[in-house]
Amino acid sequence: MSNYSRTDFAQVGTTNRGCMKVIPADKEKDFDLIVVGGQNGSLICLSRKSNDTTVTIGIRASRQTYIIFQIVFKTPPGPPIQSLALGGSPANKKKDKVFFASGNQVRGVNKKGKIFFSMETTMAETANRMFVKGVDVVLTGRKSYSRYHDTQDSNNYLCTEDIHDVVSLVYEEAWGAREYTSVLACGNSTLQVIEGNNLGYEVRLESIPFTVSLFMGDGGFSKTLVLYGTKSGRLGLASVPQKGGKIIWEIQTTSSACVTTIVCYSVTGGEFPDIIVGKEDGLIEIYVIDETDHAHLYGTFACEESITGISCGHVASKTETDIIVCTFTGWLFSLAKTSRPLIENLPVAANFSVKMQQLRSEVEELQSKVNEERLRYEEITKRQGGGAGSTFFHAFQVHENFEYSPVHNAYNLTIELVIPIDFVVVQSQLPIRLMEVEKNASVVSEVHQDGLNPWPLLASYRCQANVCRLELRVQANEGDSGVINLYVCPKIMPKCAQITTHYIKALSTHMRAHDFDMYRPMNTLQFSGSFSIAEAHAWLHHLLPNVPSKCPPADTVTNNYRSDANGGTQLQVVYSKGSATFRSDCMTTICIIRDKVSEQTMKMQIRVEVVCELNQESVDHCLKLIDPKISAILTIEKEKLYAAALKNSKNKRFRNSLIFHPPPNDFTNKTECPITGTDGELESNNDNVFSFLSPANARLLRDHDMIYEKADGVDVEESGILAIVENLMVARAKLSGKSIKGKLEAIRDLIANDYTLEKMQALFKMMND
Amino acid sequence: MDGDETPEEQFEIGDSSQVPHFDENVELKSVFNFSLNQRIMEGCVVSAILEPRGVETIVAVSMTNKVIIKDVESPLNITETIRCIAAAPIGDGYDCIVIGTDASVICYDVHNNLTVFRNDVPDGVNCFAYGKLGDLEEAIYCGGNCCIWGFDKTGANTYWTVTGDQVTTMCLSDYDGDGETELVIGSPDFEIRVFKNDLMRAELMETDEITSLAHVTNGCFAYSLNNGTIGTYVMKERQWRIKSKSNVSKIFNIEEQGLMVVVWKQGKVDLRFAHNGEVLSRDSVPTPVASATCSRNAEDATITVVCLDGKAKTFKVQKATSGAVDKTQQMIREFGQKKHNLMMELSNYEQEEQMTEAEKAGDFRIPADTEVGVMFIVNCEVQLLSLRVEATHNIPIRGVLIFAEGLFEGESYIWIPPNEHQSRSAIDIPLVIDKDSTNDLHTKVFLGHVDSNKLMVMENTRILPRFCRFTPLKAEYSKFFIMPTGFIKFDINTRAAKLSEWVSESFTIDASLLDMFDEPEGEFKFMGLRPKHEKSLMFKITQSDKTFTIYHDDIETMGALVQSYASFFQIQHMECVANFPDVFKEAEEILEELEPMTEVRDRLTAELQERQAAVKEILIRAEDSIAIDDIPDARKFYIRLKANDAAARQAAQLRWNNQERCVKSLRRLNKIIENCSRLRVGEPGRQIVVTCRAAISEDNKQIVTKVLQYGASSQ
Repeated sequence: MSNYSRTDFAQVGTTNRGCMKVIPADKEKDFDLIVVGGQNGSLICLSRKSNDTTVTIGIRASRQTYIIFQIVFKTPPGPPIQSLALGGSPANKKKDKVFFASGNQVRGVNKKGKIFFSMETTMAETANRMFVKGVDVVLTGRKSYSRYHDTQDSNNYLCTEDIHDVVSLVYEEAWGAREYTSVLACGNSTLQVIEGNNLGYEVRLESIPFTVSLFMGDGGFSKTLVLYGTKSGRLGLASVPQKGGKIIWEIQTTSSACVTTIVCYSVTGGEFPDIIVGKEDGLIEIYVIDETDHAHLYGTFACEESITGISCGHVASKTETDIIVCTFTGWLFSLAKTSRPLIENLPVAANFSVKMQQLRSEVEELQSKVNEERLRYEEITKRQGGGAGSTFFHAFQVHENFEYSPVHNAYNLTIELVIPIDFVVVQSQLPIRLMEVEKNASVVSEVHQDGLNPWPLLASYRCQANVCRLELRVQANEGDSGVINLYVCPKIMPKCAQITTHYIKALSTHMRAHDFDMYRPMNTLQFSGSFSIAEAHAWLHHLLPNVPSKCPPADTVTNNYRSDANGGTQLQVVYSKGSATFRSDCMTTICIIRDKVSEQTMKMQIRVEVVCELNQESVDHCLKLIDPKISAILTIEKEKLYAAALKNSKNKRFRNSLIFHPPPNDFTNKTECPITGTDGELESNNDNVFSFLSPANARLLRDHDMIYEKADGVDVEESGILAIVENLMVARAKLSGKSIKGKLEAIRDLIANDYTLEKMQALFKMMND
Repeated sequence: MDGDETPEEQFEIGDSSQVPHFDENVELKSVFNFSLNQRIMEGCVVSAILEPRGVETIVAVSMTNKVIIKDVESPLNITETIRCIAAAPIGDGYDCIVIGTDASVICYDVHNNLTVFRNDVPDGVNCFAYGKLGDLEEAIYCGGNCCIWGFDKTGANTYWTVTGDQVTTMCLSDYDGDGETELVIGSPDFEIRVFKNDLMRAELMETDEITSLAHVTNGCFAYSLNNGTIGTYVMKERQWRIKSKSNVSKIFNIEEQGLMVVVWKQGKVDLRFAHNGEVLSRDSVPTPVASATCSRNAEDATITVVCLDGKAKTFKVQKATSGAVDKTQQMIREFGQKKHNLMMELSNYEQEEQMTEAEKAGDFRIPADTEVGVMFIVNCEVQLLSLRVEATHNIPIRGVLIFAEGLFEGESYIWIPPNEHQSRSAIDIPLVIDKDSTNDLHTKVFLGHVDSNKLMVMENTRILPRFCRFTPLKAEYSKFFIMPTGFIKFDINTRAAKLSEWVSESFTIDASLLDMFDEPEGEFKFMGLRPKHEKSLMFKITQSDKTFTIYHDDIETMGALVQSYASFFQIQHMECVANFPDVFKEAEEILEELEPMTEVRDRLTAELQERQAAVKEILIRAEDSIAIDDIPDARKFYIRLKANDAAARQAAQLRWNNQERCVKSLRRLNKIIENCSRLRVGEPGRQIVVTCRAAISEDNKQIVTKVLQYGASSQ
């Protein structure tokens, strides 16, 4: 969005998701207000002064504003504000009351800052998300959903999965015969439609929804349309009428980062309200909606920090709409069209230097204060001496996200601090590979494993100046599991660090799926013995990602998984008291489960009986699944070689008798190549090379650049394809007790030289005999 | 803010009056795009005026080893593998293209379509620099393997000298501000060497392979390293350096405005101030960069960045149009961030006061006066140098992170105990170093209780002395001293009064032992540490003839010792007698076999050409047979072609192998000459190179080893 520019308003403390909103002004002549709820529990309301004259506020009070904003009101700090919503009396359509949830309290504040409403929740968990509709307040905790009608506890629902977000249908006609209807974004990749106290139905999605929002702000034409944004960066529209809903469309946004906020507001001046999406990696995207309710990308804007809130209104200008953005670290800024006269953007341009001076002196004053404190701290250190007293430790919050991304076949790890990061040390128990992340500008350095260093991976990331957010990507082998520790050290004195820990599960490429295809050739692994369902659940928790730590309250639990990395194999887990059954079409998966579960049962000294039924047909089936991936890579590599060779000879006159062969690659590096040595005489121009090339070759030559673009970064070794096939070989050998001596080399050889699906299947078959 | 700066690494000149004030309000502007329609070889792009009164155009080398000119259809074919390309204004008002291959330098005049000269350079050319060096005439300087050649516009060899390693990049710049240009060369052995005429003027140790060098202004040049560092040297001192994770492709300067343009391989293009590296404007190209070139039209300098896929984008430096608003915004944000950081710190102090002792105890805090000692320790028994990190109060060390440029594989070394419960309060980290260079070790020690996830970080900086691989020999470990056979002997200069000062700076040594080095006479033995623990070192001062003898077997380390000694005591001129029997013997052997090898090479070349001619002939005859529909003959010819082609390939391979051996020997010989030259300081060192070269070209080989041993003045 080159025509949008960023104007910083203020830096408030760290904020949670959805804790910033714009309140429309009462009167035309006033600017709209911004309310922000911080993690320090304080609610702040800011507005631009009508006539921007005074700015100076004392140091402590001025923490939040400068340039053009003043504080309208501010509530005292308390437990972190988790969620914030606007509401108003049903009679008057204006939403000018602010409701905010913190701790186990929901409070309402009017525009003057007066608390007019306060309610204690009866929930066991803290309320993470909130939705307000008239006198109804909907709250969700990690697993529970509650609705309060006029502060009366009216509906409750306990979900088996984690709840990430909630909305309620605002028009009662959309409910139809249903009771109060809400939509929950759940951790098992579904949107659950809650009708009163019960689950109406689920809408099954491909990935985990993280944010839901009413389409066009009210549910669209049918009032039952809900926009959702997923953890993998997809945006979709679902319809949730009575008796079963469906996905209307789903699109990939411009990056695969988690969607943290979705807002509908007309900013581009189109017929319908636009969709504004904020993401975890700092991208803000605007989509316009056409007559058929479909979304089209209009523009993007990148900021460096994760977005926690977006809201729109006439905040800095009375004629134009600003998009107000709030980030995790508390930056509050607006995106506005640059076409707007500069003077409006920067109303203080004239006395800018004065302001600058004020800022500077403020910073200096702060600096001297901090220095004093540092000195004082040092003195305390000296005075106490002799081991008495303790060091001063800076408390800082590490905001982290560790998520498997199927697109990259790797774990994405983001670390965000409110202060700049100095360096991060990554220490891993299991062999992992660090992958290049374009956005990450820090200098990486790895230490190799040796006698002195027992860790398979130790690496340091030294950050550039003013970097608060670091994005890493690590890849682990399927079957490896273990702990990754991060030592995060910010740029602050005295220096301190925090260790944070993450687990990589053995079957990390598996994602929750809704369906299971029973007709595939299947291997079955069954454990039976004297164990409880909770113990079986715990094994699962150690094996697979996104398994809730608590066992769901059921007698038998069935879960389906899908792995995209190896072409789409599946896994079904059924467990109950005394029995756990795993079904998969992939022997590698079965082998890993057998090893890991046995390990667990050994450790807990549980006697189990293991039954393993192998289906040799599943091997052919697996090879068939992975075949398109292998072929694609090999084709692109071959095309690249051919295209280069064709390009090389494009300017040459072909003698029609000369059959064209690409020159062997190894000759280009040596001194002379006798055949190409004769180039000189073949040289001439021939515009019409295409006339005598075969259509396939002509296409290769024409698409030369595109092929190179496609081939960039494609590599058999790095794609992990080899590992998948090899693992399958090893797993089968292990399960059926055979030797694989020399076979792995044969696989390598086959893929490098002469791969076809049939040959690979034959190779596997040969081993079996 | 996506800055690449790491302030920690940034060194500024303290004296601000030196910094001229330049206009900040400039930006890079993309002017136009075009495509060369070929994949381009990395590093091979120049801009040149190829015709009299012509306009500047782009010349590049394609992946397929052809020289291509922008908007000209037919490429220029070179049979040898091209390594580098340059333009030299030696035509009559226009440029000739200078092509460096793996065996020769070719100067080609595009306008007249003729080869101006073609000179054999065994071992090939890696880079060029054109211009006036010191008091020599303008010439083309070619950086090869361990040697530098200079050719004037007729192709006559005007310059030759040896250097320590391959030359990967060169520039002509006035290094010391004396008004004369020096030749600055960069090598993979982490060193920037400066030659004044053919005398080595300075060696600047860097932290990684040097990838590019560029003249900036008088007394100032810029450099870039393989690990992503860029920086400048002003008047012999490093002015600033900045490290980022990308690699530099090319640096240009825009002298009048005090600006430089840095083109990164990944596609970024920055406009920076030359005096502090501050970024003024950024832009980028979408694909990886092959190289970039700057038009020499000073009025209207444009920078053309050519990508590997042949796409090119041209930039211009101009006055910023929308910069003002962005800048104020940026400044506000910076101040805001600064303020925010300070507020955070302050609020932490406030919180601290409100905490009770019990709460603090729950945090597993460490005592306030905990200190961390970091020192160098030598374990004589295993001949190992270690860094000992020790915390007081028995606080467990949970990890040690050492940042040191160029010492480890990456920029850092990390030590973390195998599990938390094995954390101790003292640990030794072995330092196995095989480079003789001074290094700053920035250690960060993580301290904390084994169950705590909040750790204190203690920072410390230690300087690793240049010759830390040697430690004074203690009597009980005399078994580790192996008397070296190699030595050099020189007269003690009056300046070198206190040997102890140099020793204390260059070696890890106890202060108590230092005094003995000031005694007028004696033998001082050092034992070697890993990885070169079998190489011992001994100093011997003889008062009777006032000589200083250094015994050591590694000629390169010896050279480093001599240079370090001389620069410490500011000795400009030093001759010596050297004795390295093995090295001299090797030199002799190479000299012996040089002549037969050249002969064999000529014979093999002739053979190859013969085979190639045969291949060409049969090919044409075969095609002719097809043209007249004589298929049986055509088949015959193709079979013959196959056989001949195989023979030709074999001949090529043979010649290539021979060439490789020949070149290797030459490279080694150059290296030996350079090593011996470094045993002397100043003019005597230079004389060795000159005399040896003369002796070899005059076929006066027997004196070479004499010169290497006793110096050029012995003749």
